Amino acid sequence: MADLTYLMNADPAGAANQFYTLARQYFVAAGSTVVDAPTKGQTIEGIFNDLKTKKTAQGTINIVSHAVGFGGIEGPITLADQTNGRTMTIADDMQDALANKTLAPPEPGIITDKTRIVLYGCDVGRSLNFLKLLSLLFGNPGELLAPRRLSMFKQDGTTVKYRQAQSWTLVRKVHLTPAGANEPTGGWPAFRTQFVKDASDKFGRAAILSEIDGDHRFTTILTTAASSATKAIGPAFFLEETLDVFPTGTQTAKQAADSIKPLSNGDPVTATAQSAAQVDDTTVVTTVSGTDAYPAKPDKSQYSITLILLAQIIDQDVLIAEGPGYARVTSSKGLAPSAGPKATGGGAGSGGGSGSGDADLLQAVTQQLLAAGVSQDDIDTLLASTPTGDATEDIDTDAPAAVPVEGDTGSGFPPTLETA
Amino acid sequence: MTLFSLLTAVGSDWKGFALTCHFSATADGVPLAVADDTKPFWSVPTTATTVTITATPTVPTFWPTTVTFDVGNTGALTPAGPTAAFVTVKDLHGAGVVLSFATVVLSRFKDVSDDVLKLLANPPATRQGRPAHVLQDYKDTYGVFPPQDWDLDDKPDAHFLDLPNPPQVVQGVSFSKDTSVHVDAENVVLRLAGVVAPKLWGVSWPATIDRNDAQPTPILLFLRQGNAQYIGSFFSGDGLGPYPDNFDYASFGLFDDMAYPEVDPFNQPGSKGVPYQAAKAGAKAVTVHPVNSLNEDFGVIESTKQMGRILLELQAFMFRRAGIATPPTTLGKTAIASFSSGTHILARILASPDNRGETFLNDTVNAVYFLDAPAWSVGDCVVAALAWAGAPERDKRVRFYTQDLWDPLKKVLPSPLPKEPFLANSPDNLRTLGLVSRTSWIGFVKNAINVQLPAADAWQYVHHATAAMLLTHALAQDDFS
Repeated sequence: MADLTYLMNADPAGAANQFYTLARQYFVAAGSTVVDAPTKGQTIEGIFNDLKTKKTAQGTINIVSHAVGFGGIEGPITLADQTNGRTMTIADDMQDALANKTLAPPEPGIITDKTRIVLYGCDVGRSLNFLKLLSLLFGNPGELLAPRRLSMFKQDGTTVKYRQAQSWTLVRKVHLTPAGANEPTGGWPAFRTQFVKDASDKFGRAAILSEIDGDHRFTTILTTAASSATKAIGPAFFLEETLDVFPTGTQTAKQAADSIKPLSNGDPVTATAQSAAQVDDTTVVTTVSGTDAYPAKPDKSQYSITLILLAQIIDQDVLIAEGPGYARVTSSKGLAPSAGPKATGGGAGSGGGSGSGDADLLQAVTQQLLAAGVSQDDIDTLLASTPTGDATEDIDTDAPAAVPVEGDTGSGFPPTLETA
Repeated sequence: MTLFSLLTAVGSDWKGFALTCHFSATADGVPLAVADDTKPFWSVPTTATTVTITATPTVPTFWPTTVTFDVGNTGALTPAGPTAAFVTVKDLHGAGVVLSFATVVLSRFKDVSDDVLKLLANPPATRQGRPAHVLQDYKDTYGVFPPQDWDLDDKPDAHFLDLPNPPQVVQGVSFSKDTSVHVDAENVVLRLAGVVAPKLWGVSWPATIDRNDAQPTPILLFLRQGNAQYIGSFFSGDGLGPYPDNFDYASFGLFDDMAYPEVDPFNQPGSKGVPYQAAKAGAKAVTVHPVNSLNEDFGVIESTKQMGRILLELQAFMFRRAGIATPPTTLGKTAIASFSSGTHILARILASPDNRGETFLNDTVNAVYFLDAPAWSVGDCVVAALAWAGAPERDKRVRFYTQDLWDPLKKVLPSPLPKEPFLANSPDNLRTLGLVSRTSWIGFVKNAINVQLPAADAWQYVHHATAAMLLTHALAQDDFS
């Protein structure tokens, strides 16, 4: 069965960011059945309605959506929400929908424990709560995966590749570039220098903890990434994300801004980075609150929180499995890892040389095995046989505190007696 | 036809828990490239006939393992060679592609039998700085020394404890030659990775314990005497290597407990011949001999949780080296024997709050034996053993053998006791008290080898002889079935 891919929207006419356009090209080339978004944009209810028409159990369902690490994907839950002007789904929306049973999942038999739902968007996978709620909303598929990092589709000649990017986020009270300008106030060199300094201050502690001289190495990494970055999407680039604050009821814009509770672009990180190279938004969480909001309009009728990200593309195929690139929630045993659809002309394992490349090779083989008639059950069985747990747990290597007995002189050598 | 063959590997312990490893591989002896050696992925040449994987754990508590595969015409890998049971491989076949997924089983034990034989060939030339004739002393005891292998040869002229048939609640003590005693066993020395002690483990696995039927293994764990008494005299100094890599640990610490002297244990009861006694008793049990260190004695196994876990690991290793890839997941009934100051170590283990109620000690250990507990130890031994044994319904066995009837021992069996020498059981066979005095032993020695044991040497001689010849009685009490 071909993958099913839902685009949550389309790119605005003339948009510089061709996210949906490139995604469509990518999935079509890979043989996926692509469902374009309606004119007003897709909703989760719209996806469910389409799934119901399939009347069959689904394998992989891809959902392509702009998303933010603060826990939101493009497209509201219901058509009614859309009519009411909602454009995003956040965790609170799903919580309400589940509590009020606003939207029932497709009937049993369509979403099953063999169904894999994969999100293609930006870093929403850093919120486990968001993923759990989305999984519940979809009726507990076998697994649901979402990216921990910035995600993008990249034109490479005549093909499109799916890539992720490492990112470092700073909170700012000014836009990346003034309206109508192509570079920051003071020019790119000065902006880069200040960004690297501020980011080194913010992320440096994690880098110090990660390895000896980690802070210096981190600054070197950051300086290299920023050295040629601009707003243009390239190997490294700067990106602005804006959280607009809208007053409700009788609130003034300022009151609305002040009421914002702390909001993070991911769950608290419990594991330290193992090297300076791993220190980024996946290992250092950014939290914003009302104090980060600033008037977005001269008349202070609207407040915003601006985040500036330095991003550096990881030019490797993305492993669609629990790992540094993707988070997963599951209601059953894990399904086979997947490299996702392969773009036509894109060779498997062409990244070359890294462990990720090895994993990609495994995925590529898995895909070929599936295509050759090996059942998903067989692959699942193989994966289920992978050792789990920790063989070293509870192994003691030292002696207990008890000391050897003193005064023991009982066991000298007995005499040797020669047989007479 | 296979166009390409891919191989990946993961590490695990015997129970299937994951173990991170660095992997390397060769195909027909040629190294295969790998990018991340902890998550390896090799492309196997289609012309390859043999593939070898070495898994090196990232922790010091497991040994590296090397496994070999034959490559079939379809590209499928089949484990081969002596480590075949240490790997499982699963294949997924597609058109032109085969993916082999190997799970390499690493063990905390490895076979060092040959290494320890070499230690036996390298005795110290001095003791406490003075010239010594250690090698000659051992030749005098064993006839041929160092041994060429770990076989325990027949001892047709050795005296063994007579065992009445049928068994009796109270029996007298006598010794006879028994040419039918034959230690038909696989005897090996294993080394446990990453612990302070015990690092060496002697194992005598009787042929009667068939590994093909994968039944839980009955075990006799023999705790020799504590080593604190030997600080300054044995095990260190005089050019001896660090624990456990020297002659004293190999000989005094292990070989002497497994072997019998050249002719008769009456000649030198320092040699305990535990596997011989098990054979004489008809005990269907594997005998296991942890080698205690000078400074840490029995180290990690003072925790019975660790003791049980290590014995499970040992069982799994021995099954796999016999080619059985599915070892039992539990142990059979286990008895712990202890000698001299080792009795106090056993008492400490039984009485430890950390061990109380622990599953292995509570459920698997079925019997404890105390071989001539010294006066300073015997009170603690009786208290700890009887407390551990508890009510008769628990069916725990406690057996003491002694040359002196110390007061605490009178709690083991009710009065009146038989006339010395005796080996007496309680009617339910859950308790034993064996009392054989020095006077009696002097008579047995005279009868057996026609030598008058000097009174001045009697205590030391009898101390060892109690372990070297009366353990047989305990092993005949059906504690392993």
